[in-house]
Amino acid sequence: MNRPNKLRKVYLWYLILTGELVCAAIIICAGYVADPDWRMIIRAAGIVGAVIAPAMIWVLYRWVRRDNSDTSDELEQMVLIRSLAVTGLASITLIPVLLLLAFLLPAYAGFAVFGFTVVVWGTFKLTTFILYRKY
Amino acid sequence: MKRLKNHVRELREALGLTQAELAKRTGVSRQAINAIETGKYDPSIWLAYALAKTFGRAIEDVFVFEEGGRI
Repeated sequence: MNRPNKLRKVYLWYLILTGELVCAAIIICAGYVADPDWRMIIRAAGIVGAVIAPAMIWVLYRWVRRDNSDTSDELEQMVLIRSLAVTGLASITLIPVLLLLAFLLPAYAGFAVFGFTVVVWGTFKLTTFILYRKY
Repeated sequence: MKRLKNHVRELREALGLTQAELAKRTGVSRQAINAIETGKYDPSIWLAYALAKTFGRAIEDVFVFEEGGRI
């Protein structure tokens, strides 16, 4: 049953804010790139991303939510809860691996963090997709 | 483990409603109604009540709890 909630809208703003944070990180990190051409390209990509990311996320959100509702029903909430549980398990399990890689191979710590993020987010999106397909 | 059985499909069809129409009346998605009918998902007491009310029945007429079912 649709009890009053705005979970979809909360998720939308969460995605917009995290998208802006990632773009800000790209812009800041671009200053550390040695090659001036690449520095400019990466900085420009970050700025363009920061500008268009909210619009893209909004369009995708409205496109995926064909019912145009900001409220999720209990089945959708159950799917998200299960997905978050699997994601939490994956992230907790992989944290020791991440720490080991970061300490043993400090030169590749950035890649390790990036890989960890991709695996954790991938787990969440994949689990959500599989569970939505199941129901 | 035995499942919570229900008569949602029969009662819905008796009223001549589609899954989408029943979903609209009870405030959930069509997927939720389909998942309940196929036994993939057990609804909350709130949704069970909304469904029973829509059918004009008591909850126990719509949902059947089997002895020795859920652990």
